[in-house]
Amino acid sequence: MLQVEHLTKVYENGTVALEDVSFTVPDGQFLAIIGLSGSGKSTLLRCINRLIEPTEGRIIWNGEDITAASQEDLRRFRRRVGMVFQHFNLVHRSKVLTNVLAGRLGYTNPAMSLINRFSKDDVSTALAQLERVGLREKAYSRADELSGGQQQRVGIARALMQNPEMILADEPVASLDPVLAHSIMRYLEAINQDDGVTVLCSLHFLDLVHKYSDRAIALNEGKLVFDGLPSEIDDMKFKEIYGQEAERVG
Amino acid sequence: MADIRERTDAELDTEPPSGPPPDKPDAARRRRRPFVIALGIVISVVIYALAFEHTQVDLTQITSETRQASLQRILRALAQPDLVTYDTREDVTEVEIAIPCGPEVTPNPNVVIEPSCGDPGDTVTITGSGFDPREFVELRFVPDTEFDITLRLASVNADSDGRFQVEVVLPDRTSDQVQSVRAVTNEPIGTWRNRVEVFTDANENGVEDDPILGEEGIHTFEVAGNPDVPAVALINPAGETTDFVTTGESFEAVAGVSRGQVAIPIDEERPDTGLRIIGIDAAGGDLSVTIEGPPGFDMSNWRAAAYDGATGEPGATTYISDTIRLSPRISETARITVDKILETVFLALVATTAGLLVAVPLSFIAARNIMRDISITVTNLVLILIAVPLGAGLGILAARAARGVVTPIADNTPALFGALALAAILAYLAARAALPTVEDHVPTRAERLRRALLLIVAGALGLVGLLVLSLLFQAIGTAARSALGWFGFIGSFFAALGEIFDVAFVVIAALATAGVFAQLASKLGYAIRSRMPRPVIRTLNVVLGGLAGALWAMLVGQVIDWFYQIGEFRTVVLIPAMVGAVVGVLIALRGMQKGEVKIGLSIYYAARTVFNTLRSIEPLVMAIVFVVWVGAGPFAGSLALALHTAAALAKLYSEQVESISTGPIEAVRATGANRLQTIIYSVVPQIVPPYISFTMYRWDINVRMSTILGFVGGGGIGSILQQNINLLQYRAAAVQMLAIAIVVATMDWASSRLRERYV
Repeated sequence: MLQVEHLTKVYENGTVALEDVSFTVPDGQFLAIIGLSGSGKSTLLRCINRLIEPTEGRIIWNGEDITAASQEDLRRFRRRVGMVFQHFNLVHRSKVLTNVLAGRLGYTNPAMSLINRFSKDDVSTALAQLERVGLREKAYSRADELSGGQQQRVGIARALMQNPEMILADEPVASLDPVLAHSIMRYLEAINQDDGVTVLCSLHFLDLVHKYSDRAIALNEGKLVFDGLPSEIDDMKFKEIYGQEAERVG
Repeated sequence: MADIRERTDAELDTEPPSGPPPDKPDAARRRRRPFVIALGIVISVVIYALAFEHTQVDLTQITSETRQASLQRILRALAQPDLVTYDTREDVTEVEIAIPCGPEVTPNPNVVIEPSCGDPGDTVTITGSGFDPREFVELRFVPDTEFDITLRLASVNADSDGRFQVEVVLPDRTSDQVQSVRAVTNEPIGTWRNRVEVFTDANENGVEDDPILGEEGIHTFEVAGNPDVPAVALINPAGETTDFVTTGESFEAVAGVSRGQVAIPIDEERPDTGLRIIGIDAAGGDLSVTIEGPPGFDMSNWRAAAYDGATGEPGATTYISDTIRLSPRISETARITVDKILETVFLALVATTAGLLVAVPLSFIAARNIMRDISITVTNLVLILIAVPLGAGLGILAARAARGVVTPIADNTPALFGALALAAILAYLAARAALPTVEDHVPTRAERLRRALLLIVAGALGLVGLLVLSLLFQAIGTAARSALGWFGFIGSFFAALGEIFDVAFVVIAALATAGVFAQLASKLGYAIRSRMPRPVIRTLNVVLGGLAGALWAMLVGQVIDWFYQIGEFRTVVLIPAMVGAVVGVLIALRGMQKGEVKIGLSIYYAARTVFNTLRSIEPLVMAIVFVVWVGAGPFAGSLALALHTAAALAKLYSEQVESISTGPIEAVRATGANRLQTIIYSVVPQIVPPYISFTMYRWDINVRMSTILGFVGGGGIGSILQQNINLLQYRAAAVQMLAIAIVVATMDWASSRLRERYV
């Protein structure tokens, strides 16, 4: 179970990205995070695994206070939390397989990484994960030779390599066309339903929210303005989340 | 001027109205504008006038006749680089002269002195005829002494009819004997135009023989020396051995022209290659060799080499006939130039490699995006500041002790091999035991301790291995230097590598121990912070801050003392310690308000400052310091260039690190990778191509720079170029300039091609 308690993030330039955000995610839930661009969705996701250090508040994962964790504890926490990014964030010049194997770094001894070595098990698991996302034959291609949708599938395979208990997906489909978007979302759905992995996914399109998520929270200017079932987002709520001038498109 | 101004104004007026609305200056500013422009013009005129004054711009120098002649001379010399050389033969015509008048002189019809006698200081006219058209004639006075000296009187070019006339002043050399004047000319032989020249008795056997093999097809000649088991090789004009025979058993020549070739017993069958040896007679003082060949065969430039069939060692080499055919050949200057240009390129290579090795690790600490986020608590900072010098000092002491232990077996190569193997195996085993491939559980405290100890043991063993390796390289290298003969330089290379490892061993030992101490200090800091109450931590911070400040200030004091030789305890120890302590306390107090110190940024700024300072000093200037330190030569040049390269590359590299995309870094960090892993898996793949590209570019620059390092004694081609310029040997200098141009252009082309491939 993930508990976010009174989370606040103020950047050095004074921007308040998150203001007193609290919510709880039970294990196995598919949680959608919605809100305008700049409403704090990315900051929220990155504060959870401390890619961004929160200014105040606590993140508690299965009873462990992540915000107070030492570097080593943080490493052990992060390796159980996969992350998927809007811009895929693959290392372009590396092979697809190496990109997937990078998901094992949290489990690998740094000295072994120095000589670029992974265990045999890791390599076979990586190939199996690529199989799962349908890219087995691309394992030895360079990452930048792949199309956007393929790159995002490699990103998912990398997250799966971590054997995650939770996946943080930061607008995973915002850079993809609607068809690809659904295909990527189905992968996340399968991971959530088959493997019981908790998914926190920030999304732009409400139809995706309706279709895939169990629950939605909404941020507006860093504040939590909605927490409930996707079906509860009616026109009133919509205006509240996105502002009075907003119009529904999808 | 006015013309340009008008046009600019006109353009301003016709500015298209569609452009972005100009920022309208207010009326006052518009009125002031002409004055500002006028003032600007006046100031620039003054600046350029000063510049002309200081650069001594003087067009009369360029146009004056003597300067024109100088320019002509140097340009002509540059257009005729001294690349090929040919033989010349000195022709001497002697004519008698009497100083003062008295003895009878015999006239020479070719060179006439008028009058044929006179007192010192008199002017006489020397007229010559019968010389080659436009031939260069040097006139020298041969005084009546027992020494072989001549005095230069004049030099003159004959006219198109082969005549010359010149007035000379008689030297102050009086004698009651007849003295003489020599007209010396140098006839070119062996040029392309005049290629065949008969050298009578080129083989110095006292007989004049015909280079063309006679009717009977037999020729006999002598080779100096007479070994116990004689052997002779026949060498054709191209320098190849065509026949190699011995009167004894077959053997292989160990050196000389026929090195590596096998001499065959003289009576055995061998392929017919024109000339062949049919007899070796060792009866007389020297070897008498008889050869057989087709009648009419031209033996010019064929040589014979004597060998000792018992040892394979070469003896004398001689021409087999008296005639040799001379041809133009690569000049000595060209040979030296090739030698030196190779030195230049290698100098640049060594400097680039050394600079690269230093710059790669340093580039990361000079990259803002990597260093920005590194911050450290005050407790850790002060603890590390105290631990690092202690660790480094201890490391150096330990390294010295280790060297003392290993040195007794330095000459025992098998023992060194054994020690190396043992150290390597033990280090590997310790490292394997300390580092599990997969971290599947949280290690217990005992496990952590065991791993840390094993790692330290592995590191220490690795270092000992490095020390043994250095001794081994030195031993093997020194032995190989003499054993490898021609390839002895490889032995020297390994010996030098051994010495480098030896230095590296101490440096790495110091750094590693400092690193271990820093690690322990940060663990201690973490323990203190998590256990002690805040006030205790604060007090501790302040006390330790003062201590750390004092320690570092004392180190700085030692450096100052080294430079200025103050040698006074109060000035170099006490005062710095006190000042340092105060600064340390202040920093600790200030840092505590923020909680953490952005140590990364401080290191970043320090590194950048050092690189920029080093980069701004020309390698030429650095070379002067290194020449004083390690002596003139290419080594000084490579050190200077390496230092500059390290600074320049570190800056270029770090800019590449700063410009990488952050997405992959974020992604890799999110997987739980630590800092080292993040760098290896997300930073390194992004920076390798630009690193290669910049290294190539830098090598290109280094080749250019190394061509001039010789001007200050830094080795490379510059030294002989400067020498030739100073000796006014412009034709020789032209060869070096040509070589520089070719090499630099080639490097430029090659490096740009390679860079295209990698970026």
